[in-house]
Amino acid sequence: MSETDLAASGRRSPLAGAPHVAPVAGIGTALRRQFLARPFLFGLLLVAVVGILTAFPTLYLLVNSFNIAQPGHPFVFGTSVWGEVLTDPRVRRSIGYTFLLSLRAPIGVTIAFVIAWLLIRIKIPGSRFIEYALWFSFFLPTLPLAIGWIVLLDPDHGLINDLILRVFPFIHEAPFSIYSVSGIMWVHLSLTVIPINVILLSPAIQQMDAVYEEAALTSGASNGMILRRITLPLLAPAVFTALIIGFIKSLETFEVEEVLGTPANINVYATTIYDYVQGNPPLLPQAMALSTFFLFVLLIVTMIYRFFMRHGEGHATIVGKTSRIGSGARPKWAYIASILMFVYLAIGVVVPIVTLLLGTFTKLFGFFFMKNAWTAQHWIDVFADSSFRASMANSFLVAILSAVIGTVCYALLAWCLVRSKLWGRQLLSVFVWLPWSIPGILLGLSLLTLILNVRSLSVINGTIVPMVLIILIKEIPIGVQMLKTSIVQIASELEEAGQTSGARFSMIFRRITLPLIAPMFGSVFILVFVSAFRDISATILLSGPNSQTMPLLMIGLLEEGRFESAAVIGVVLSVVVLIMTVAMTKLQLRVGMGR
Amino acid sequence: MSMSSTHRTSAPSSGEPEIMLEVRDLGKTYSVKSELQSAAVDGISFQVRQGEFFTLLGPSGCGKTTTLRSIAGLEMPDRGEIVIGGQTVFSSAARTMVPANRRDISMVFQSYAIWPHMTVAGNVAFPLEALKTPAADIRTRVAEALEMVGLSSYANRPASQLSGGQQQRVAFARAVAKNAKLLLLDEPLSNLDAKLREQMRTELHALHRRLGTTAIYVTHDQDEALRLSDRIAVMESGKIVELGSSRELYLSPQKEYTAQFIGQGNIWNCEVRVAKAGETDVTSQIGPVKARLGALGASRARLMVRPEHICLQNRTAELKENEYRGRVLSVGFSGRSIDYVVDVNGMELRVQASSTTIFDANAEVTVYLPPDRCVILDTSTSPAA
Repeated sequence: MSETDLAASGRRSPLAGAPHVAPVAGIGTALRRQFLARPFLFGLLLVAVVGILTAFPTLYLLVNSFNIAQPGHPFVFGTSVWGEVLTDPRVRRSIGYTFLLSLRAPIGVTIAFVIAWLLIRIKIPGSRFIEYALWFSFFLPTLPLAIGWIVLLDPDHGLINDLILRVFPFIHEAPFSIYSVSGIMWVHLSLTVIPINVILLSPAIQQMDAVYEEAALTSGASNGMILRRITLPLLAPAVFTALIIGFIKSLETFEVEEVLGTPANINVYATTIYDYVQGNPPLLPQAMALSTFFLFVLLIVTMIYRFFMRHGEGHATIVGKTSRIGSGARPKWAYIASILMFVYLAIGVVVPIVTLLLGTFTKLFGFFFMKNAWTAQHWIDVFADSSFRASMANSFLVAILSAVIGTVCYALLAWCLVRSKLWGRQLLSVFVWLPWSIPGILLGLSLLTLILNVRSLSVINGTIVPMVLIILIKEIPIGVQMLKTSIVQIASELEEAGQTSGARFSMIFRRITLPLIAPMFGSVFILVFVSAFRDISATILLSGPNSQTMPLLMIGLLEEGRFESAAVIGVVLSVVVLIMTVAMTKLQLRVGMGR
Repeated sequence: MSMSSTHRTSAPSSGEPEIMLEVRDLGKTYSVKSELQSAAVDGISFQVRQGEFFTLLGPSGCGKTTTLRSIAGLEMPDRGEIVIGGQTVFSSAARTMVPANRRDISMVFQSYAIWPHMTVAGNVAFPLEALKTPAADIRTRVAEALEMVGLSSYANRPASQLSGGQQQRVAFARAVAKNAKLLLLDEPLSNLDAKLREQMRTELHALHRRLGTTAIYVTHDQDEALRLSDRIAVMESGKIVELGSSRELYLSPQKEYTAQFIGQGNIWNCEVRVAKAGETDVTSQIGPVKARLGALGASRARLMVRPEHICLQNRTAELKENEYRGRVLSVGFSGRSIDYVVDVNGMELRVQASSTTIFDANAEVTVYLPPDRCVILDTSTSPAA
């Protein structure tokens, strides 16, 4: 007897008493009892585990925002923290900046939609390369690239500013400053928002039956008209989803805002929380109150999303076919579009990377034009440092453990959500989304508090165990969602044929489901790996002296002002990420061949 | 219209083959939304004997696929009992539900469900591996199964490279290889083009004969059902309307629904005058008719004659029994046969005749309804005897 039974209905409540058993040849009493009990018990267990992992931090935040006791003292209920937070002008300003900066979501989605359409439907020259480059830039750790941008666009000694001031003598002031709303926007848009939205929207465009667009084409519509009148309306649900995800994610980032916003006095939600937590003394209840406020914002956003998606269900555009519009009819302007894309990639990705890389070889970071400016000493120093080598080992260990455990767990969870009729599936699907709503630093904080307060857990304090755990929790939403979309696409008859062939759940999952979702399984593996490998916010509070990872070491070096060594680590991180991106594109290639 | 089921074929006596499948009072309700409940299957019962080819026939949404999936164990019914080869695999009373992978069945799906990531041989071997068959046996049985469907040379091809007809054959081979007591087929031919379907139908028939397994077949195609089946259950709205052999259902249906769903029929009201053993005299709009088939005992009834059973001849002076005067209203020529509409005493009868003799429009003809092909349909709503 296996979990296959879970696939059968779990609706019948086993609480209605022990099942009556009739003497029937061939099946044991226990088996029948298990059948009726298991979907419920297993469902309950799953809901409980996922619920504790995901809902606990949320509840923790909510409860502790009403705690006015001194740190280390018993809980005292009070709303004074809330009043304090909501009347603090700094908080108000940070909320304003947060919403202002979240405008990058609609901007990014709009640009990304056009890019995705150019790549998939028009197939502009170099589509495949552009796609890979976008994956790469999404994976790149943002912080080192932000450092690259500081070198280029610092108002005082940024290279580009210097250059412009020298070339155009009539300009007397540095024209650009990276320490600004537009600077932060630019770094986010070019490195993460646009790439991730192209990545999210491309499959939707690809999976939409091209026949709708072909019908428009044969009706005499131009490419622009097809995009406006057919493609976009049909893909409205996908675009809307991307918009919501973009908004939520925009609340989470803090490294870039911390580094680029602080000099210009720009605070956002996440950096304010970071300041509260890092303050002396740490203002944890204030941090939690502010988080709870944004939890409500997210709740409202989610409700709006659900409302619109329910009313948009009429569009059943995604079908199994992946037929494409003939690539022979590539318009002339496709080449211009292609050139623009390459320019964007060159400026957005290549320039800061090159700056960063060159910076690691300068004696004084960012000063390229001194006498004897160049040295390899930083590289030698970093690699000779035992703490760097230890952090590298830790990084790989955390990333591999997270990726292995995570991918398997997410796949099973996704399968349960898509295919099973487990008790509590609805609740489970809500829990699975919860970690989206909590910035990494608060996830880390709540787990840290748990570890410090529960004596039996103190053995894992300072080890990589809580770091892996926090990555696993943090990546549940995206991992499960990606695998869900993949499992949904497997015709259920393929698994049913396994059942009627006499295979148990484990065999069906291993031999049919997993091979069919293998490319997505691999993609999720790499995604989790990279996310763990470059994470700062979630793990920073959990790491001990022996469990430092490379990004944490890097941020530590930055705080000490050792930009050169930090840049070296940034380059190493980027190289590993590049290798993973190549691995991922290989997987994508295989998906392409399978179609 | 009657909703009651009519089981003509009595339960088998001890001398006949054993019962391989028994379905008792099977019911399943889908709740689309909480307030809108629809019964997909509404109290179905039937028995299938060893070696029989049994078909569930009906329009889409009549519950035939739900019934089949319940037998397979892919669907959990709300009530009833299913016994396969003596083993109760589902019983709502005993709260028994044997999962699909533990039932002695194999299934061919409408979409074939050929696993695209495996080879042809890999697909066929899968059920044997699931049953932990020794590797040597697997090889021989896969080879046999592929031989049977004529795909031996394709064994190591990736399954995704096969045509629709070949995938269909692999699906059969996979189902056959498991050597289960019960073979379930869910509209397996509906995705093939007409010519291939014809060919596969013949092959399927031969395959079933050779293997002697018990087959439960689901289709909405009456032609397919008539040609393949030993017995057919005609379904509508989750119920079995009528159950019988192809011949019984075509030549002497008891229910108007069956008469209309299988083949075509001229059906009109009549009144029973004299009901004798094996023969009933009725009156109707066209005049007195003698009928020798159908629910001969009924009082108020409907009369059914199939278009191809009606004979047309040149107008005769004398009218014998079951002969009427008529006038050809329209002639439709389709090569093999000719479709006429004939006016008989103000009633339009559809007639299908061979092209041996061709009548033109407005021709005066004598219409003959053979009493052995005139069927009295039961319009009562109570279950037939």
